[in-house]
Amino acid sequence: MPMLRHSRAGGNPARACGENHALQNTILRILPDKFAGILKSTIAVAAVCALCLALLETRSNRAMSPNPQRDGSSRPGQKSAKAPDQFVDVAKEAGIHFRLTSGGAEKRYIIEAKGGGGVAWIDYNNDGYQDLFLVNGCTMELWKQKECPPSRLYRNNGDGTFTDVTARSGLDHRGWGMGACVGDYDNDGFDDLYVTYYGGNVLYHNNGNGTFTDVTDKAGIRGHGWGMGCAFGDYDSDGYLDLYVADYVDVDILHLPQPGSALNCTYRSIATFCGPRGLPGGRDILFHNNRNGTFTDVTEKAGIDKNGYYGLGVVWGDYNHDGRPDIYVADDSTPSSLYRNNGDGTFTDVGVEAGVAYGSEGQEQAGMGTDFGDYDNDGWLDIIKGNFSDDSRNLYHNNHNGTFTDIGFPAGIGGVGWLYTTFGAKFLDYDNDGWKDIVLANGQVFPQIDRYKTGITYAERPLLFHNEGPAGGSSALPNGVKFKEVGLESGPGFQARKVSRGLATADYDNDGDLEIAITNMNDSPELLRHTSKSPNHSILVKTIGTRSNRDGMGAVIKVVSGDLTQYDEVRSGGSYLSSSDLRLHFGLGSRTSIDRIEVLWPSGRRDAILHPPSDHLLVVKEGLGLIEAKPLRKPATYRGIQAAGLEGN
Amino acid sequence: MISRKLSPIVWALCFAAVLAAGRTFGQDAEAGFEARVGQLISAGQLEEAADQARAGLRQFPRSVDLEQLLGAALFKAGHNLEARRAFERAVELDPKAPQGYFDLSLVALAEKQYAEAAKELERTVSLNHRNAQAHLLLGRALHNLNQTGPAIRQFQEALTIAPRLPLAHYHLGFAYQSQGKLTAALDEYQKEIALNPGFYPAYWLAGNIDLKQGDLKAAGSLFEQGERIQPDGYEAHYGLGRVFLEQKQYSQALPEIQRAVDLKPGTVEAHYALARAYQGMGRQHDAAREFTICSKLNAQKQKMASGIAGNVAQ
Repeated sequence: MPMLRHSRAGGNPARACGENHALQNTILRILPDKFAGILKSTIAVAAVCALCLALLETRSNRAMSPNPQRDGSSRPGQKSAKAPDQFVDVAKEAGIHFRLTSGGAEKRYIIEAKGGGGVAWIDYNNDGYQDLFLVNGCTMELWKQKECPPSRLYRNNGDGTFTDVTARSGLDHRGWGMGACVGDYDNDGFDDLYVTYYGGNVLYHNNGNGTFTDVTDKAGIRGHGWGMGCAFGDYDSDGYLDLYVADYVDVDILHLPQPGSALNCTYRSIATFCGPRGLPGGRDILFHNNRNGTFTDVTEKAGIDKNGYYGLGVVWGDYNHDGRPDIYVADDSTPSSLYRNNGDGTFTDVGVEAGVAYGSEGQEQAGMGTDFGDYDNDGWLDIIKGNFSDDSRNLYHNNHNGTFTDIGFPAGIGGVGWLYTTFGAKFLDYDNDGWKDIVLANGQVFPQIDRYKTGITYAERPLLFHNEGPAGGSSALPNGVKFKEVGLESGPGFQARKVSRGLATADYDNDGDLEIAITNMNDSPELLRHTSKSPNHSILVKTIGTRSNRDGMGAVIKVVSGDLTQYDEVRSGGSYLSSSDLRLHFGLGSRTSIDRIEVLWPSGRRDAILHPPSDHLLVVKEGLGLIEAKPLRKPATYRGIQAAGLEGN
Repeated sequence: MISRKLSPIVWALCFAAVLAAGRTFGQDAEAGFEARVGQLISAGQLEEAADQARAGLRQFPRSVDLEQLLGAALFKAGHNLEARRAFERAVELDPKAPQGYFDLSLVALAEKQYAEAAKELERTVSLNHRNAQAHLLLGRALHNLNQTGPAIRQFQEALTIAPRLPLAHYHLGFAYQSQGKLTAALDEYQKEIALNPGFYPAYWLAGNIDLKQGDLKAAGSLFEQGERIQPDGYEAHYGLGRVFLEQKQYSQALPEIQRAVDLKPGTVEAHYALARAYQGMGRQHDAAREFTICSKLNAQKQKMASGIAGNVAQ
């Protein structure tokens, strides 16, 4: 009998393979041929079992499953075979010697994985160069000892290098830092800095002499719990900046549950840190500026975050053209919120009906970083939002009627890096062709994932999506605009795999193109700078409000250059816990002239500038129009960069 | 003399004949048990089949076939623990037979003990590397163990051995999809459909990819075919409704989505699609109601789901 079975089991591959029916080689293959009837029936049963198993597996996985030219002319349809812009990480050569501390390697607790990584560009000394502030985190051990490492301020030397000026800056708060945002809250002409922490946030007043003073308590703006993203905006157009702070979870980090200890402490059956699901949500805060250096918490009165969603990225923008800044908050594992400004000091969360709360199938997503931007140049703000792996990042196209349509996948940004977890997310026109591209900083939260072969990795490369313009996509897409991921062909700066979090853009060398700062967990940051780029033209616009807030935040700027019309708004915050150059950047393609620039200020006032020069930094003052035009440097050499042999412009 | 000399031979022959007869009788008796057990299993009389197999094993305690039949009856009856014991005894009796390990893997798979299943299936393919079904199941076990890359290799191996193996393209497609390789996944689903045209899941999974990638025509066709195969299939109705939604054909979307809601009332995605259809038709009140249902359902899920992204652990 055993011999007979051996020959049956191993001697006839064709039969053993079960070519005619599922699971033909199942448990009952042991039956002799004379029991063919039994064989057939059992095969049928086994096939049904197999189908059931397949269906069960499919169903259980369905929750996880959903469910890629340069255009130098920027004219639709005109594409050339130019080499893509090239980026290289120059952080070390530029003097940025920083290491983001954020917990241990295993990430046993949620704060170690999600916390920290904020990056803010701020011209704190008004020298015309963007300086860099990097928020530091902590470790559980250092937190207990109250010895968290300091955040760092790097002064831009104007020659491509930076100097660490933290020690004499007054930015001396030690804590588990998260994010930062920039704004001149007291309209004194010097940008201030708000930094979020676990356990209470900090407002640093810029003294105008290169130092800051912690005025948190005096201003009444510490907040509570676990601050994450923050953004300044003048929601009541009173000329003073208010502040929105996203709050994450309401927990005592010294009493967090252990990895794998509950259902919300696993990922793909792998024991991981717990949360945010299963943990109480923190309530976001809206602070109203009292115009006297103090703020009032108006969260309740304004109707903000009644459900205590897990808030992360925050950005202001007037999505519905009613002249009032609205707020979009990317929430983790809960619906994201779009707070429509009702104009009476209150807001209504219209995220669900506007179509920006969920994914395209109504599912809650793990929203991280977000940004407003008019990627298709139709004059209406669209939204980008990064999510967790196994989920499509969203590109919400503004339908001009108060609703949005998620076109991430058909527009080409959903499928590439499907397994990536996107934190930093920002619109930018990196090649100055007049169409906003998208850059994403990625990195998983579970280091344990590297022990498996899922295809998901802890460290991930950043993604760079080039806007192909109207000719790039199909007529089914809004304005036909489609994106193509070009990171791998955009230089070594986009090749490295890191566990990235914060991302912010700035033209720190004032050469007319945008650089990208990215922070990385337990690692040094990256400063991605062009080594070669298109010859396209561009402008920077700096707004100075008079009746409006001094920074001109919320000002809508329209730039018309021939057949190219672009819009943007001045904003702080956005991306993931980060804040970008407050000056607006517009690429012009091959156009060397600008027909006009129109500025609609938050006060309602309009200024128009006719035929301003291209390739200039244009300073526009409310009521006065263009007050200064400085030529952008078409750079030759920068000390630190040249020394590293990286100069390529 | 002759008779006296031959007598030991005759006796020996007679003894051998008796032994042979007894053995034949024993084999026939064992086969008889096997036949009866098999008939009872095919008749769905599983408990009786198990009793009959046990009776047979009392007479033929080293019968591997009866142990396996006992295991089969018990497995079909849902007595997985006992079935596993029977299969383990069969393996003890004949440790070089790949079938025993394969049987054990099925129990392990049914109990979602994927590591155990993978171990048994690896033994199976080490003894019989040409067993395509074992490669397929090993791939499934590995995929569930977050070993997607190795799983894909097993699916590919299964298809190399048996290019028309049912469900192999489907599972390969699913593995590709979980890696975000949607074009490759779609290709595999299409191959599964060609080989196995009555297999409903391949249609809606393929349709979902076409829908996601914006190929609404192809998606619509797949969902329609899915509906024909399984008229009460939630996924096909929902998918077709989504296609109409994307085409802004709200009045056509509505009945499909409503049908999906009727089939699976507590499903967030269906209520969300219904809300969007009402919204597109200007029925804001109805849309608000459905959005509220979505919010409530999501809130309920919040309590149950695990993982930072809300991904349900497999």
